[in-house]
Amino acid sequence: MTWAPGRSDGADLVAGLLRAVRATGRAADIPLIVRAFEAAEHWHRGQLRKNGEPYITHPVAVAEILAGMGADDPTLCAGLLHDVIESTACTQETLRAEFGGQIADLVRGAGTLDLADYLAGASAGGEPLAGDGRILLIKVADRLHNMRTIGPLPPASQVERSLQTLQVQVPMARALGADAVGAELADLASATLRRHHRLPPTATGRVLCVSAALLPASARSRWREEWLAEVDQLQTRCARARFTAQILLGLGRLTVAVRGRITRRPG
Amino acid sequence: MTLQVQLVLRALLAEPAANHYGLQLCGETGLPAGTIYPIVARLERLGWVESSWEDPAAHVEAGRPRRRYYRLTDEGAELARDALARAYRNRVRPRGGVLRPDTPGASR
Repeated sequence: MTWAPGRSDGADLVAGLLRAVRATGRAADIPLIVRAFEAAEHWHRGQLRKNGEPYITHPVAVAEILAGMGADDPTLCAGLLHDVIESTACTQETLRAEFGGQIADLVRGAGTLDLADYLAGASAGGEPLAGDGRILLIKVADRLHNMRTIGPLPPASQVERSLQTLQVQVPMARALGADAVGAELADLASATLRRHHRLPPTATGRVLCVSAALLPASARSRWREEWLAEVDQLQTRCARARFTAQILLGLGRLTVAVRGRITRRPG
Repeated sequence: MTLQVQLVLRALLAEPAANHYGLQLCGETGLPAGTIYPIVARLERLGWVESSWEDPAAHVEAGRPRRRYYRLTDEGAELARDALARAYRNRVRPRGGVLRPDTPGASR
């Protein structure tokens, strides 16, 4: 798929972003955000993401996530522009002239800050969360969209990023008070790890997946993950088979337990 | 309340503030996994128990997938103690007129 920066695609993108901004209910500087979008679209024109989509879809998604996290206008704009210095011919001076020092500094900060180093420094006695917390918001939102669209990366990169996400971005999101983002990051990373090295290669693992699929839809993924994590820790094939057989035997009772009406006593 | 539920409650009450995971409860109670999960699921629906995924730092460090952890809610711990005491009273006749509703569940 090639990206022709047709009016309608760009208009759809910016309309979606503005909806997300308006949904927050705060008075936003819409012209400024549109200008930042246009600049980002200009600089990323012709670039594609690994999944074949126009690159601009990524910064727009990051800005939407930031809007949901309650970010202010400069942060939203920096989210839209967060990759232009790093991966296009745009310079920080250009950004400064166009959008002012604050946004240009946020973009530069987001491009240069390494969250893992930052966290290591903070835990080694540096000042925790020093600097502009908005840069950290952008980093976390950036990672969330990258994790949502991790599919086209090679498996080894997926595993590496997922592990890093669990160690770095999840605690960072929580420290920033973005619990929902932290939870989504943890879910995406765990699902990716499961897909790659915990994907049940064994018969017992497959039986557990099928068993979980028999539960009510809302309960499936949780129990599947829980059982696969437990069976992963059992050392012998015999123990794994026994565990799996027991799960199957208890499936009826579990279905009742997760779906059944609440009684006053635990049975 | 069935004996199995009593066993699970007793295991949870042994360390009421701690996290317990499914296999651990199997080991502590001697009950099979197919019995443990429906019980904790029901206790969770009743609000006696709450569950959450293990913190990423812990399971990444240990090099294994994240566990689902269960622990008693404050209310659940209280209700569990009462329920175990009641179950004990219904089973055992007090001797010498001394009724000790607080301790029987704790004897292991």
